[in-house]
Amino acid sequence: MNRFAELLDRLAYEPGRNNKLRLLTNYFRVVEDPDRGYALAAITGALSFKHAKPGLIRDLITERTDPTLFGLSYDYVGDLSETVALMWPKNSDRPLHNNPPPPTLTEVVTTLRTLGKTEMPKQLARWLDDLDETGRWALLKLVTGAMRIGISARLAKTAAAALGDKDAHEVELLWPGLTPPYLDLFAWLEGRGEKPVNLDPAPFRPVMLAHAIEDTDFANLNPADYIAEWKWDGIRVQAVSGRDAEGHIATRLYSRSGEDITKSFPDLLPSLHLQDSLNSKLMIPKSRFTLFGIKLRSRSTANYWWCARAACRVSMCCNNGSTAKWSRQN
Amino acid sequence: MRPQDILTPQPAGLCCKPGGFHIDPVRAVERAVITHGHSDHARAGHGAVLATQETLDMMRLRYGENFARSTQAIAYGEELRLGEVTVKFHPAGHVLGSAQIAVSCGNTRVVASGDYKDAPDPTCTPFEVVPCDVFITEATFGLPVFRHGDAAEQVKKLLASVALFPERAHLVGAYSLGKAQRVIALLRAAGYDAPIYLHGAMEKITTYYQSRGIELGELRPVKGMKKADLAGTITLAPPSATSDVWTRRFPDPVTAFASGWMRVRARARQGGIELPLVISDHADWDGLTTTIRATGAGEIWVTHGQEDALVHWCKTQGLAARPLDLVGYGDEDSGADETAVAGEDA
Repeated sequence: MNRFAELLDRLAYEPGRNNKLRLLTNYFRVVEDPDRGYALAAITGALSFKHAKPGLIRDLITERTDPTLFGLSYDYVGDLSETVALMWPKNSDRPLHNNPPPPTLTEVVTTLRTLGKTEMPKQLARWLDDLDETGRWALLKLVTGAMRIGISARLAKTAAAALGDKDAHEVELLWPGLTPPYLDLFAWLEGRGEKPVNLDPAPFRPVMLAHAIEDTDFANLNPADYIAEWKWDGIRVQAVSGRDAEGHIATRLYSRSGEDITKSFPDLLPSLHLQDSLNSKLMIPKSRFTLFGIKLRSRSTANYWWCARAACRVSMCCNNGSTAKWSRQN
Repeated sequence: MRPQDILTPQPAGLCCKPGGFHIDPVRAVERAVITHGHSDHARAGHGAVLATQETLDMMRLRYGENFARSTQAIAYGEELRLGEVTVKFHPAGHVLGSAQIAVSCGNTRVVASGDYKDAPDPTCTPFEVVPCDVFITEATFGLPVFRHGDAAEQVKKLLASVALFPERAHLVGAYSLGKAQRVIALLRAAGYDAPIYLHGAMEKITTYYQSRGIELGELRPVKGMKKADLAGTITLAPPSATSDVWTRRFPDPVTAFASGWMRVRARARQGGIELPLVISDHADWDGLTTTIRATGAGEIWVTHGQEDALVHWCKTQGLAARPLDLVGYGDEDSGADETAVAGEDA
């Protein structure tokens, strides 16, 4: 937990992207499994604990400190986790030489996942007793799920990929099929194991991004290769479907960052009759969900537009390998 | 004599009427007794000044030979009769030469502690608990969120960062009187033996520390160094300089700041600090409360900082306590470092 806390602490202050990557990659290099995997999960937002809530933390500190002093401190610091981490009283009942080692990140994560609601306060208090200020801060950030250290999931995956000189894209493609603590991923990145296979029948693919076309670009573009359309306002989603090993059809909706948001749109799924995947915008015209629009890329350039033809003219992404291939509009 | 007749808060500072002097006056007075060399406590222009030799030397370095009409040096443990009272100096552990001043009259003893810390510091004499009836304490870090921890651990953090970023320069903001020398001494104690670079504003006072027998290893002025040669090095500079154009001479600098304020993240982020080092020359919350109890004083006067919280705590402990509402004292880290403003090496 201490090394994870140190990492979060450093990341929270580091403004530069490359330096953040250095700190992260260095952490993944020196910290062993499964701790580093749970750290990756925590930073990418893949962990959540249902029984640990800010109210519980407030109760814990209220039992232990003078309310006036807590009030003055909270006013000064302005952040609950940090205030509690800083003013948590030292446990003088425990003889120093008998202190248990602070819990590992793995211990914390696995315990938090299985612990019942009634046991939670006691366990949290024990950990807070055993950790130092930075450790307590990191624990409370982890528990409440509000990291706010300026690291996107993408950046964390890039740092992990750098461990094996791999492209972040490759990790991104595998990602939805992986689960914490990502032992297979790290084994592959360190050259100790096979590349994990994404067994998900409907995996997420990194989305292509639209780039603005400069006036000078038009000289190299043949308008016959492209169609143009309005860029619609809405939620960027990727709809994917495929057959699993038993032949059942699985259909999923992913957000732009690869988060599975299928459950958020239950009424949309039955109307999705896809064979492959579709990058689209999800909009609400006349209070009805409709999938609309698809991004196209020309074979000759990396630029692409939003296209707004009818659904029958939508180009599909072939689900036949790790790289998404785009067919040309005809 | 009642304690409040021995020492009374006045606009010019704490006044001892029966002794005919002020302690750390913020305005020019006839006779001043000074606790330590920081500029909010030691000002120029007084008639006669009584302080430790080190404090007098530092005032001379800062203000020039004629900073007072006359001076008198006093050693720790030495007693002096002034009017109806006796004053005695005790180590405060804040910076080199810092003192607590015990003022006794009859059976009543009041201790004005100035700024103090009870944490170990290789660059000054350790703090001494002085039993008294009234203890006058600062409250710079008078909130339970301030616990400074072990300064050696913070220096390890700095060295780990130097190892991780060997192509970058590390720039450590540290107040030029006391903090800078303490950080250097801590780096040496951690086994760092490469030359340490100094901002021009730190040179005079650091040389003075060395002349008083404080071992600081090889120090070099950063002025005139080539940018590329500063990769992988550590430079100490006044806090105000670390956000200045002056930093452009360093290759991709990591900005660190050694201060008790670094305990609170928002404070560090506001200052654009990447590597906060919680190293303070003031007592933290535990230090303040432990010291107050140890003095055995039944009455506590709180001078500057977070008075509310400390006064509240004293009352919960059954101690009489009140804020003195003195104006003009701060904590050296949060104000501009006046030696940097002088711009010896802009």
